[in-house]
Amino acid sequence: MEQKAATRRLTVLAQDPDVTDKGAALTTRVVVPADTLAPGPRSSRIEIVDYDASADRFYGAFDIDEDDERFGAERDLDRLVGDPAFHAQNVYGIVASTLFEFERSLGRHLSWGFGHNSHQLKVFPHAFLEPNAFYSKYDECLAFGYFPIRGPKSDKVFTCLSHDIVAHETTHALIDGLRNQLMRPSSHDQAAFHEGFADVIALLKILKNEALVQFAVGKHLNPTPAGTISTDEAFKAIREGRFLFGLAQQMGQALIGMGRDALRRSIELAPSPEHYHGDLFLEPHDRGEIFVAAVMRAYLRVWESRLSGKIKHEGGKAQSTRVSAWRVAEEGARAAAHLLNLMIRAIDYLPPIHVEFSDFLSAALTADWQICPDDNTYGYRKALTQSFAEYGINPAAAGTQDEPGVWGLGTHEREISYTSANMDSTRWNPESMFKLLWENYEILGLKRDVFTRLNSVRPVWRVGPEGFVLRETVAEYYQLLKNARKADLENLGIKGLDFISGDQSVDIVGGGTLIFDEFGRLKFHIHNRIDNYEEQGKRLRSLWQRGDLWDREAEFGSFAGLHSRRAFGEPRYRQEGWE
Amino acid sequence: MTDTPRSATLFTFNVGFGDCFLLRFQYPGSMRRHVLVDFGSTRQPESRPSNYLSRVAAQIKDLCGGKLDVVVATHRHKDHIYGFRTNKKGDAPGNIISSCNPTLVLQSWTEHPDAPTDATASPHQRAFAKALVNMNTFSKAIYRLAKADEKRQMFDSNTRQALSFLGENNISNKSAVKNLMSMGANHRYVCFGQDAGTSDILPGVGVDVLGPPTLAQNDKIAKQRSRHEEEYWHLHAAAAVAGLTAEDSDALFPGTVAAELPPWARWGRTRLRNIRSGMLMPIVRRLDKQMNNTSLILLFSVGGKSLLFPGDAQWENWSHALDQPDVRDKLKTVDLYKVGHHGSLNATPKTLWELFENRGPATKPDRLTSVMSTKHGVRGHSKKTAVPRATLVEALKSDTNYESSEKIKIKRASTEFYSKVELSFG
Repeated sequence: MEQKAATRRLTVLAQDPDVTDKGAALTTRVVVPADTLAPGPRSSRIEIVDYDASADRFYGAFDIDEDDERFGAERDLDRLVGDPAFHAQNVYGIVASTLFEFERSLGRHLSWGFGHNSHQLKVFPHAFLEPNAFYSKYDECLAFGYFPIRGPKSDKVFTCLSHDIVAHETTHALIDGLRNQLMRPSSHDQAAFHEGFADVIALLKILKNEALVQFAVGKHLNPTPAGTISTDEAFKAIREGRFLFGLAQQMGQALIGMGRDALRRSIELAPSPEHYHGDLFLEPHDRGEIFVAAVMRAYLRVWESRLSGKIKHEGGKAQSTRVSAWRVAEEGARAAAHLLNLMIRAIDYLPPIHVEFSDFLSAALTADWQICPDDNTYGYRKALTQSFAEYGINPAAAGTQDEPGVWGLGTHEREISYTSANMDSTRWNPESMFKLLWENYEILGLKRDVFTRLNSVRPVWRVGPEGFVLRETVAEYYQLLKNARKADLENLGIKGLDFISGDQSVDIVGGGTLIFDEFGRLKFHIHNRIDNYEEQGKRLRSLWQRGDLWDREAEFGSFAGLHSRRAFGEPRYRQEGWE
Repeated sequence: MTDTPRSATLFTFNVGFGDCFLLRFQYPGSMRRHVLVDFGSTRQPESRPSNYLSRVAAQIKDLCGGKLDVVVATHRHKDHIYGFRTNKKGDAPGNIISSCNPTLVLQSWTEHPDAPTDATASPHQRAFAKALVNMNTFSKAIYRLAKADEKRQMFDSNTRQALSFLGENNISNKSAVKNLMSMGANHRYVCFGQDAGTSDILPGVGVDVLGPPTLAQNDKIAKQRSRHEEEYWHLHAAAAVAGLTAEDSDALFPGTVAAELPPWARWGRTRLRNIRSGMLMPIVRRLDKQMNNTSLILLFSVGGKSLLFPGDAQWENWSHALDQPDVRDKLKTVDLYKVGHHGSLNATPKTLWELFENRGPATKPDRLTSVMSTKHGVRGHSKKTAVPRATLVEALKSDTNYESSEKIKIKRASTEFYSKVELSFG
């Protein structure tokens, strides 16, 4: 039987039509699984549906040239932008490669967040004539708008041609599949996390493209004909984020009105704990920018460290005064690739609900520690810790002496009983895992008198950059007290509920992530308990102040509304309405 | 003292869904001063005399003896300024009002004709003024889109009706805007805390401008809004205008032929149409709210009594005033409250309502009077969204002397279109 390749490469725009190389399209070839493709294109996971609701028009079901010959060598931007078949390939390639990036990092196939009834994410590349793009869980889709603009290159902007926007929206869909409780209204951080994380993934995904980074480096430092640049200048430019700023100035100029200028804003946000601890960055999109800025600053640190590792130094000074531009770009792209992988893996080490940035930092440190025990080579963990600290964010966990900030396990949690569990089936069977949980409620600090649901059990195999294999089982549960009346909450000891009337009810939620080692023994229990009533009280008040406590749109997480508000920069207020 | 009014009369006109109030201050002797607060409508009473708004205007002219002292246009929504429109023939309601030769026309800072280019204004203010122009373009396109959809049937009927109403109400009403700019001897465009410039015109009457704040006055809003507001409305206006012809051309991909929707994609069509409706409505509501929040909030103080006219101001406008302790003190003793925004969900903030010390049972001396100008069934298609809010009306009936424009029955043969509330001072 003929062996079929596991992956194929597809040509897509490296960023968007505004980023060109002397007027020629700057493209890249992304790696996607070599799935059987039906016209659309449609695979087992993704369907491109080119219907336009504003024009009530279907532009066609397009075939993808599996050898990538049709667009592989095309550099004429007008032809690419004017061809709906390329739009379909571009959006398919970016969605599929983002999914592939997640699956490869997490070591398993992922489900979309819209339940078990459907396996295919529907993608509308020309959904409507509107400056908006979003993920809709209810509609199982990504919708990308287009809109008119007066500009030198094109009279229309297609959001489906923007690599970072497509990757951003795909990340929302993926996070929803991995952690569906993160769309619930909770802390300021949790609302911001979805946005900030999607921005980070999108930016690192484009920055892992060496050709794009080389373009940014070349544009900024003008290499000699031999392709070298000043070593001091290169370090200075990395440190000051000038390559990124140069790129940001070109990226999606027309998209600024959509609020999609995360790279630029992350560079402009100078480090200060004031942003995080003050009250000017409480809105999800603003707060998400702090998250993006902290990660991008860590990225620059690692880039510098990686480049430094490739250059001989003496007495703290680089011996060579010139360095190849491709080397600078290569290290930038590799730093982005490693960080991208690390960020994705951190998701498995997050609590399932009420996520704060400090939780994410501990999750990222733990994820990297588990697969790269030695951080001395390039210092990814050190860079993340330092950068987040500059923005006033410290790890949620104390960690160990050697590995500060990583998650641990409470002494009593080490005492959980495995006698009732079948070790093998707990790795994949939700009922076995729930049984293990049920038998250990008290040790793990779960409440028996509320609804409990095991969200998922996921066996994972991960391979680190040094070939180190990690096998784990990740299970997540949440606990829910639904329709709790004011009296119920007060009986639990939650104080200061003057904003809730006697006949109103609210939900309170808690949950945890359990990580088991290859022998089925509990390694980490990362949780935000439902019975942390002091925090629950603060959270309810904060939600009420934001107008989110009884807001249906907030409850179900509308990215259409969120992204529209992001574009507008609209604050949310408690409206004091006459319900 | 001759320069202090002895009494005031508030004439509330039934203009359907809209505001039209004439405030008369009676001074000792025969001296009177008249203030017209808004004159607009989006749905006039079903059964009414012909040329109804012109008849209302004539009645205003009659009541003020042919001379208006101050005209207030709280904001540019159709239900507040439509009556100021003119025609060449000279018999439109705006021509009649204009002939009353107001001494002062008072409007929000956002209406200043030079605001988009005023070098002395802050960048926030200029950007907002430019955004207003795009908001009007957007509204016009949305209104036409909703009308065209009566044939196309891409939206459900509730969405179509709501888009049509909101689009129409936000249209710039050019004729009325122009008339307001040209009528009268003086014009003032004011923000929170500024002098209304009425002290010589209305002797003995204090007028506090409680809203709208400028963006610089409200730091929180300024920070958020300065980012993309101008660009946001520019993009939406351009998209909405282009949307009017989207179905008629192959402009998106010239030369390509539309394909037939295959069976596997039909599911997507229905979903995407619903998504589009669901996406447009919040944008249009946002625009409507922004316009409402440009409303002037005026507090008239005279003879120890005070009268509050907040236009359609909502929370974002009110919050700045309510943050000021001295303003809160003044609001405690309000005697007459023109109910904000026709009794909608968010325009009478609970914080404001709680401040009113003159609320109470019918036996309470000097009880608060509330005046609502509204029309049931125009806005909101369910109990949850209906205007006026049943809970607010209930509270107004229970705690205030409640007057509603709907109590004024208008018929084809009607000759009087208003009700009166009398207040005496001292």
